[in-house]
Amino acid sequence: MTSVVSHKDSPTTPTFDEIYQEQARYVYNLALRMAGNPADADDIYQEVFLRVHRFLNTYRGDGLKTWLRRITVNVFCTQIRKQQRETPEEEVGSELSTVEGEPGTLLDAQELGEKLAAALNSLGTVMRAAMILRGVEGLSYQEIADLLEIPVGTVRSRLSRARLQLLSRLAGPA
Amino acid sequence: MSCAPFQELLSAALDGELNSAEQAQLDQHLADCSACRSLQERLRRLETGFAHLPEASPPPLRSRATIAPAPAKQGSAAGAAAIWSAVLAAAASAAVLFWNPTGPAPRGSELYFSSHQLLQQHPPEQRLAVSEFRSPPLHGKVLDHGQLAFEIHLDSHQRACKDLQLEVQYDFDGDGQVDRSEVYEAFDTDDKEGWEVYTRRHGPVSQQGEMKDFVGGTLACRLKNASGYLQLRQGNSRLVLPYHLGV
Repeated sequence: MTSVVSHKDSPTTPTFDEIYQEQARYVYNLALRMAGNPADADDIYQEVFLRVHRFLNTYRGDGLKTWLRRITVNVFCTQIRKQQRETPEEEVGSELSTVEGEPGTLLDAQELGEKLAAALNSLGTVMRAAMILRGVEGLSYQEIADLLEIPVGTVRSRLSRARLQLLSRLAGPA
Repeated sequence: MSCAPFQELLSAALDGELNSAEQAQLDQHLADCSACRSLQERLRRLETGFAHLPEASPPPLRSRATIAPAPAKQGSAAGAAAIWSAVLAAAASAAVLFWNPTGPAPRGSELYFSSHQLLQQHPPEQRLAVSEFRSPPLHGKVLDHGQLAFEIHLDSHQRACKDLQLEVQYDFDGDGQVDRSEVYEAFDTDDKEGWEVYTRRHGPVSQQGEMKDFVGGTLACRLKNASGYLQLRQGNSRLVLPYHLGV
């Protein structure tokens, strides 16, 4: 009778347990793709659920994934700002001449996904985050700009450069 | 004409983020440029990869135990109760046991216990996974003649837990050294379902070191001899530190 049972504030407010059970995979994979490595992803994921626990009473029931995504990106941004103070990120340029070749023509979808995951890891942190928020999460440039706190024009130019770099990586030797 | 300016347009077009003038400009260029048409095709193929990125299983949540000031003075206990929701009929009577009813109300700053390990719903035979709680960095002045008070709401379910003891360790300056420690009188839980409250009845049974101001140091609380499926009720379990924290 004293188990941690489900309890609802209102029909639209899920319990922490429900959120954890249903969304842990989503949060972790979003963190993993943005961070690019399991250690940082784990830190982000743990912090996200601490915040979910702490701020669940402020959740207004207006889209759980949107809320979790916002928390995850906020934690991610806090982490990269801290890391960039320690080791500033180098932005790598890209040229059209580096994207010759026919990447993906012989790859099936799963193979393309795996190679793309590896190629994403070669991007700079912010570029990768923007690419994930667009390519996986399907957000608009304005939404990405708001989440990452960068200008819309920067989102657009970084996504373009990110794609060219990804093509270049996929075209190159594995 | 250089294709470089059109690369960004190609990317933005893929995302549906071009205005009509830009789209017209791009269309005109694509009509004349086979290299950019080829790039457009490759970019489209690239997009299909995002739906097939490999997925990883999330790791378990780490054991994270803290004692920290309540986030909002009024809403904290209610909020925590809503989250943890392990509310029993017995809790109402347990609340009567708050502190020592004949003594003065404890003075100082409140810190609430919080343990994320309780989410994991341990099987009954497992030891309490979290028995140590650590505060974030604290700053504050010690109150004259103040003394620490605590109430820890516990339920060990159908297994009694004997000789539970609260040990409090102070690291006043955050150098990692324990500057003061206090161990309080032991408490036994019963073997019945329902919340019980472990409070300070007497002074510490042992103590070492002097009380000092907190200068970025931390407080650690340990429940010694905690065993079994011991649940700690959050939102109610708290310390009152004889400090004016946050100065």
